[in-house]
Amino acid sequence: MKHEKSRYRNAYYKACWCLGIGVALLILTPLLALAHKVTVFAWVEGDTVYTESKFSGGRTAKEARIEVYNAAGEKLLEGRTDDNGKFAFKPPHPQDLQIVLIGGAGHRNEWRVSASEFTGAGAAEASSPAVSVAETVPPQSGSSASMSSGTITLSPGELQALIEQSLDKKLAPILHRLGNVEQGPSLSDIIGGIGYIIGLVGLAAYFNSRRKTG
Amino acid sequence: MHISEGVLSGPVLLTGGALAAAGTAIGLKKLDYDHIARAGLLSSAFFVASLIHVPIGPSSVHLILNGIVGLMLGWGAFPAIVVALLLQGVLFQFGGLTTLGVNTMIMAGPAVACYYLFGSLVQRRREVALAAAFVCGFTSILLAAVVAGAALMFTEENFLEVTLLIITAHIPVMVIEGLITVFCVAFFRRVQPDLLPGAVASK
Repeated sequence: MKHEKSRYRNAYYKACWCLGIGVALLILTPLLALAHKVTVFAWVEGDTVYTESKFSGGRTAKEARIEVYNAAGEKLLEGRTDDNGKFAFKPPHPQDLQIVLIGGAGHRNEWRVSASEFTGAGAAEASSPAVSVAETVPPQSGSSASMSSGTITLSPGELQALIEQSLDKKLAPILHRLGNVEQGPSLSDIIGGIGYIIGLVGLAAYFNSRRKTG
Repeated sequence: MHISEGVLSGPVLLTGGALAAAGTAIGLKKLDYDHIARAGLLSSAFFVASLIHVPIGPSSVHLILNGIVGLMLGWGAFPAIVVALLLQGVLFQFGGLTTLGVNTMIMAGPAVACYYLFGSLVQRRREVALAAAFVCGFTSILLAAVVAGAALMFTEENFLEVTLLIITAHIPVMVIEGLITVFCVAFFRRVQPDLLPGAVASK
């Protein structure tokens, strides 16, 4: 009987070890493949807001719905991302925006754009009434539109606008890269999580043994 | 298949939370000393499995492993999965705290269902057992997709469309999880059949 029990024990430990090794292998794989949530990133060039949406595996979110809200929570506009997960729009006037991405099947995320990020001619004339309700603007025509509205102003303002514009142009790739930084879970997150589980197992075993003896 | 924060309405969240709490309570009650370590191991496996990304198919999906968790733990799958989901939410920002209950139902509900559907089959003849294991891994994801679709029905308003979308996205995962379950069952049958459900029931 005693022999039987120790045999059982041994095999149990063997199985536990195998599972443990499996878990260890699983820990190493995320270094290669990251997981699962949807993110949206937005930046401003002139008076146009560009957004980029992707799943955290790096795959772009195609045909996903984007909704834009103002600070008061009113919906300003909505649209869909293109095949590269991109969507651009012109808000009625520079203001705080909340951009919500609805990725379908329960995926959702949001990004905030503050009014101070708007630099183009639109920001200088922030008091002017809204332009036409924002429409989807392809990236190239967006910058030319802001240029044409910027050139009419006085020369100091014009200079300012030009500087802002070239800065936007120079910074765009950097902003773009920032949005692409993969924020996957780190190894310490993963090991920490497993540590929590081991701790909980210990806690459960403790209470279980108390229940048995008490 | 994690539903993000801010997608579902209050009543759905509350219902999911209540059901998950009940399931977890039953699971904790049934979890005896011998099963605690096992639940912890499977909970860890479930926790990290979500990081394994399957780059096949139309959208972004990852392994879930709820089939094997259910098969080996029965009702114990609830506490194991709720802990793993909580940690995924806090550490990886998958899902969220308010959707914890609903997400638990999506993954642990099918796990327990698979335990009752296939638990008695894995101690049978080898061919039957391995076939059952594959179907178990496959079905657990399929059912999870149906539960997720049901939860989203109240917001996305088209149960059939959403469910079909989730199912198509997860077909590669279903096949992979079916194979993983076959592998695990074959392994345990050889090394330690006591770990599989039929033996537990006969004790």
